[in-house]
Amino acid sequence: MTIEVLLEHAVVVARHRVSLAEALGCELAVAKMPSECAVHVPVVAVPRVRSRIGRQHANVVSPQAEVFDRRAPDEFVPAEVVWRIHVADRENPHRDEDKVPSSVDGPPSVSIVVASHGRPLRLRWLLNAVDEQTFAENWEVVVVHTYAADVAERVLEHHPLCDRGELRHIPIDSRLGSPARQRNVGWREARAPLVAFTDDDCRPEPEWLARLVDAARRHPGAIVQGATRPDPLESAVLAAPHVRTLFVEPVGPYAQTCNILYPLEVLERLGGFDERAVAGEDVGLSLRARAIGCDITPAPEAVVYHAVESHTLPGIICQNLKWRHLAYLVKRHPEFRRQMPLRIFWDRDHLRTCALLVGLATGYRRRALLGLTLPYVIWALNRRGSGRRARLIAAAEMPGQAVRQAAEVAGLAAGAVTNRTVVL
Amino acid sequence: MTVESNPRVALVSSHPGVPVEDLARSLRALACPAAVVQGARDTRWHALMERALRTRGFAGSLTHLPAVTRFLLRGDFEVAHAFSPVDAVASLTWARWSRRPVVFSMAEPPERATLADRRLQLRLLTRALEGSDAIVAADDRMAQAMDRWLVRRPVVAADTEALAALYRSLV
Repeated sequence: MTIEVLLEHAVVVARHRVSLAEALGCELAVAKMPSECAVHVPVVAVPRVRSRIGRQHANVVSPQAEVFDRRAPDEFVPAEVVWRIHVADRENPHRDEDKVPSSVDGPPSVSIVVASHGRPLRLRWLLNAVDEQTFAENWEVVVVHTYAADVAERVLEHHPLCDRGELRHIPIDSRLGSPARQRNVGWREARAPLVAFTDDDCRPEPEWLARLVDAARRHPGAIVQGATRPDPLESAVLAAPHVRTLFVEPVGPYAQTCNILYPLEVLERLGGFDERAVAGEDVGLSLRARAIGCDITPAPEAVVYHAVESHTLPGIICQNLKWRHLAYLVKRHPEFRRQMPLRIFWDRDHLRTCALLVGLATGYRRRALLGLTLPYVIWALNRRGSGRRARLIAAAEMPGQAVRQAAEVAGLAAGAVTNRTVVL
Repeated sequence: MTVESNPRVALVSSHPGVPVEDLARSLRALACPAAVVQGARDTRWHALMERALRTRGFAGSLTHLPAVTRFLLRGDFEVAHAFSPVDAVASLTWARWSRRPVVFSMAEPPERATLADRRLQLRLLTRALEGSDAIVAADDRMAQAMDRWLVRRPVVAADTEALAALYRSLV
C-alpha cells in the first residue's frame, strides 16, 4: 500500500516527529509560528506508511480533513510541526484508530477529573476513550489513584496522553483514599474553569466532552449532567442475575459523578465533596449546590457508557454494604427526604423489599398480610421482560434478588442506627 | 540444537480458529517436541452446555476447561503455550501442580469490544496476564494492541525459532 504524504499546511502537533522523520526518510521543519508553517514541501510517496501513521503515529492526522491546495488556511492553531496527510484512493484518514490531538499551548478549557481505585485495566480503557475525544480545544486529565508506583507507571505514564502532557496523575495512600477525597484532590489540581467528572469504570463517547462543554457554555454557571447508559459492548453480561451498572437520564436526583460537569467556581464556593461521606458524596454536593441556587442542566447528548459487571450473591452483598453510609447523607441533608418514597425508604426497591419482609414475617398469622409480598413478586417476575422465558428466568432468580435486597435494606437500617436517623 | 535441549511443549488451543497444527509442525521441524491440546471433543452434550452458558452471557469455550486441564496433567510437558484466556487458566491450573512455565498469546489483537463483552471474560483475561510467565505477540501490531488495551509489553516472537528460544529460556 502506498499513500501520499503532503507535508504542507495543517494544524496538528506531531509528538513523534523523530520516528516519523525516520519513516519518511526526510527532515522535518519545526515551525513555531503559524506564518512559518506555510512552507512548500514536495509530495512524497511512502510505502507502507499508512499503518505506521494509523497506529503508531495516529496523532499526526489533522482534526479537519479539508485540503488546502497549497494555500494558507484562514486560521491556525499554534503547533510545533505542521502536517497534511492525503490518503490515496479516497480512503478516510480518520478511521477508528485515528485520534484528534488537542495538545496546544495555553491553559485548558476543561479538566477531566477521575478518581481510580482497584481498576487499573478499566482506567486504561477510560484513558483510551478520553484520548479519542473530538473536543478541539485544549483540555487536561487529572487522575487521582491509589496504585503502586509500578502499576501507575505502566498504566498512566506510558499512555500517549501522558506523553503529550495532557494527563497528570496524583498517587495517594490507599488507606486514605476515598472517592470524595480523591475527587477533591483532583479538582483542586485542575487548571481549567470547568471540571468534568467521570469514573474509571466508564467509557465516554468520542463527542462526550465537546457536548458537555457546549451545554456548559450555553448555561454559564450551571452544573451539567450527561446521560449514562450500560455499556452496549458489555450488554451480554446483563444476563447475569447480579449485575452492577448504571442508567442515568439527566437530570436525576443523585447527580452521579460518572458524568457531570461543575464550574470550578461552584466547587470552590462549596468547598468540594464532603469527605466524611463514604458514599453519596456526589448527591451531597449537588444538594449543596442547589441550596445556593445553582441549576443542574441536562445534556442527554453527552453520553458515558458504564461498565456492566456481574457478581456472585455474596460478592454483590459485600459490595452493596457500602450503601449503609447513605444514612449519613440523609441525616446531613434532610431535604433529600422529599425525593424518597414515604420520606423513609431510599427508593421504591427498598419499599417493596420492606413490604415483602413484613409480609413473609407476619403472613403465617394473618393470611391477608401475605398480600404485602405481591408488589415485590410482581416487580421481580417482570424484571427481565414479559415473555414466558424471561419470566421463568426472573422467577428462578427471585430468591437471590430478595436476599440481596434484604441485605441492602438491613445494611441501610444499621447505618441509620449508627447515624441516629430513620432511613430504610 | 538437539532434542534434549528443547523442552516438550503443549500448544493449548480450544479456540477453533488458531492454526496451532502448523505451529506444532514448524516447531517439530526445529527439533522442538510440540503437541497440540485442543480441549474436549465436539459432542452434542458439549454443544448444549456451551450454548446454555452462552445464553447466560458466559465467555466461550468454558466447557473445554476441565478437559484441557486433565489432558495437561496427564501429559509430560515442560511448557504450556496457551492461545486464549480460557486455555491460559487451564494451563495455570496445570502449572500450579507441575510448577512449569506458561506462555500466553492471543489469537487476535485485543479490541475494546471483546475485552469484557461476556461474563468471566475480564476475570479470565486478568488471570492469564498476571499468572503467565511470558506473554508473546506474533508481530508488532499485536504487541501494540496488547500494550494499548492490556497494559502489557509482550515479547515479539515473529517466527518459530524465536518461540523455541523463548521456551528454552523459560525452562
